Amino acid sequence: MKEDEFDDGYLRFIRHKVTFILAAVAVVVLAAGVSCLVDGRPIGVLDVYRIIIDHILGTEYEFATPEYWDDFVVCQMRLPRVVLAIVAGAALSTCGVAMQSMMSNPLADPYTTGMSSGACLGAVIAIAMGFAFTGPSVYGIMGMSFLMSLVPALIIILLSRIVRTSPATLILLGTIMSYLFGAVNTLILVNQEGETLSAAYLWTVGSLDNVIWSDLWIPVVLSTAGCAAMIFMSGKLNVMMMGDDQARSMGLDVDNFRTVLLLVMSLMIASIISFTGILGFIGLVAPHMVRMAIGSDNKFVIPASMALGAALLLVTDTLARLVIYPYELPVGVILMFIGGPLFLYVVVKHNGYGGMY
Amino acid sequence: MQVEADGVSFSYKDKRVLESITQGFDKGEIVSIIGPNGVGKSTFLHCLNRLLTPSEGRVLVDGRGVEDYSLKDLAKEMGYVPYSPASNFPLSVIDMVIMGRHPYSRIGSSKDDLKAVHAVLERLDIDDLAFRPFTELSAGQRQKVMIARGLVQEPEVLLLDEPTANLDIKHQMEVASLLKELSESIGLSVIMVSHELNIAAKYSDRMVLLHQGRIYRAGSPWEVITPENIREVYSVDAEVIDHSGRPYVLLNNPLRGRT
Repeated sequence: MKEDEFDDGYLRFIRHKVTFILAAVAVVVLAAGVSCLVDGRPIGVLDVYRIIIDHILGTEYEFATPEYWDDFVVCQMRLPRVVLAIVAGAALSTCGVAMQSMMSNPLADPYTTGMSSGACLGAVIAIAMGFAFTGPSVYGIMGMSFLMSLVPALIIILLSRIVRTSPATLILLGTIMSYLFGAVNTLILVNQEGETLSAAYLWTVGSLDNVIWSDLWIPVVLSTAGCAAMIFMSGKLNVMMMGDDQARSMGLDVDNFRTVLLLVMSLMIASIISFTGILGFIGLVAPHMVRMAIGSDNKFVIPASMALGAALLLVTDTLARLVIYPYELPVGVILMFIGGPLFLYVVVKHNGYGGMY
Repeated sequence: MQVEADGVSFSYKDKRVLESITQGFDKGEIVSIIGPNGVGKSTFLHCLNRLLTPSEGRVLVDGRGVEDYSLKDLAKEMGYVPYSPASNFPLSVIDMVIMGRHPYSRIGSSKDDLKAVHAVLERLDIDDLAFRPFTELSAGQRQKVMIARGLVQEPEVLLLDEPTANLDIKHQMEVASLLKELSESIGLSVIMVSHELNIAAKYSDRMVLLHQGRIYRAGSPWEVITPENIREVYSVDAEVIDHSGRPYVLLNNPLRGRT
C-alpha cells in the first residue's frame, strides 16, 4: 500500500466515526427540543428552537404578551433542566470512558467504582448538617460531595501504588465502598425529619428537577473543562487501555496520570451528582454503545459518548416526565429500568467483545 | 546501545526469584533467554525495562541506570512486546500500533505518527491489515502487530516475552526470522524470552539459560544447547544434532523423580 493510499484509507477509517459523532449531536439537539415541549403551555416543535435562538440573540418581549410567556416558559423553566441533562449525560459518560480506559476494565464507571455513591453520601451529609439547596448553601453540598467522592478515588490511588491491583480488585473495592456509603446513608436518613428526609432521599435516586440558571454555572463550567481535559488526554487514555505494564513500557507514568484522572473525575462527578443525585448506568451504557459502533480510539469515543450520554439522559428524563403525566418520576428510576436491560442486552449480544463478559 | 544487568536480584515478597544476574547485551544481536517455567525469565525481562525494580543490583542502558531515565525516554530506547497480547476493548490494528508513538506525542504530531506507523506496517508487510479489528486477526498476525507497536517507538532494543508462543510452526519461524532481519538491517537489539529451543537456537546470536534464578550457562547456541545442560536444567533426556550449522534438540524422555 502506498503512503497516499494509506492516508486515504485512514480518512475513510475515521470518516464514519466523525459521522457518528455528528449524528449523535443531531440527536441531542432534537431530544433537547422535544424535551422543551413537555409541561403546561403548548408550544410547537419548531417554535421551541426559534424561541431559544431569539433568546440567545437577545430579543426582548413586552411583559405578559404570549411571546413573553413562551420565552419565559421555554428559556427560564424548561431550558435549565435540558442543559443540566446534557451536561450531566456528557460528563458522566466521559468519566465512564476514562474509568474504563484507566482500569483497562469495561465494567468500570463512576457508579461501579463507588465515586457516585461517595458524592451522593456527601450531599446527604451536607443536607443533614442543614445546608439547603438554595443560595450559597449549594457550595456546601457540592464541597462535601467532592470530598466524599475523593474517598474511593484516594483508596484506588493508594492501593494501586502499594500493591499490584487487578481490574477485578478495583471493581470489588468500588462495590464495597458503595455498600458502606449506602449503609451510612441509610443511617443518616432514618434519623431525619420529614422534609429533610425527602430532600435527602431524592439524592439517592437521581432527578433533574428544580434547576435554575443561577445554580447551573458550576456543573457547566467544571464538566466542560473536565470533558475538554479528557479529550486532550485521550492519547494517554488509549495507552492505559492496555493495562499498567504495557502503558509504562510505552512511556506513560501510570501512577501520576491515574492521580490526575481521578482528581478531574472527582470534580466532574461531584459537580453533577451534588445537583442530580445518583444517575447510574449512563457511564456504562453510552461508552459501550459508542465502542460497538466506532471502536475504542478515545479521541473519538469521548466526544461520541458525550453526545450519546447527553441524548440518553434527555430522552430518559423526558420519559420520566411523561410516564405518569402530569406527575413525574425521578429520572434515576427510569435510568435503572432502561439502563439495566439495555446493558444486559449489550453484554449478551456482544459476549465475544473484548473477551470480558 | 548496550544493555547491562549488573548483579540483578529480585524477590516477590520473601520468595527469591532472581539471584545476582550479571549479563550484557550488545547492539544488534539477538539474545534468547531460556529456562523452565517459573525460573524468572519474564521477571528478568521486566527488570530490564523497569516494569519491576530489582531488589539488588541495577540495570544500565548505555552506561546509565534505567532509574535515571524518565519513562518516556526509556520508551524511546526500549520497546516491549508483552506475552499473549489481548485487549478488553475493540481496537483496530492502527489504534493498537499508533499507541507506540506515545513517547513522541505532542500537539499536532498525528501526521508524523501516521507516517511512522505506515512505514513500520509496510516493513512488516501487514499494511493491508491496518484498519482491521485486532481481535479478528490470527495469532501470527497479532504478534506482528505487537512487534510493529514496539517498533514505532523507534527503540534500539526490543524486549519480547515469548513472541512465538501459541503460534504454528510457520508463524513461529516467520516471527523469528523477522526479528533476525530487523537486527541485521536496522541494528535492532533483540532480547527475547523463549520456550522454543530449536527456534531460539536457529535464530539467536547468543542464549542465556536460567536455572533456579541464576544464569546456568550463557554463550553461543552451541555452548548453551547441550544434552548435559538440558538434562540438568529441564530434567529432560535429549540429544542435540547439527542441523544446518545450528544445534537442534531431539527430545527423548522426561527424567523421572525430578522437577
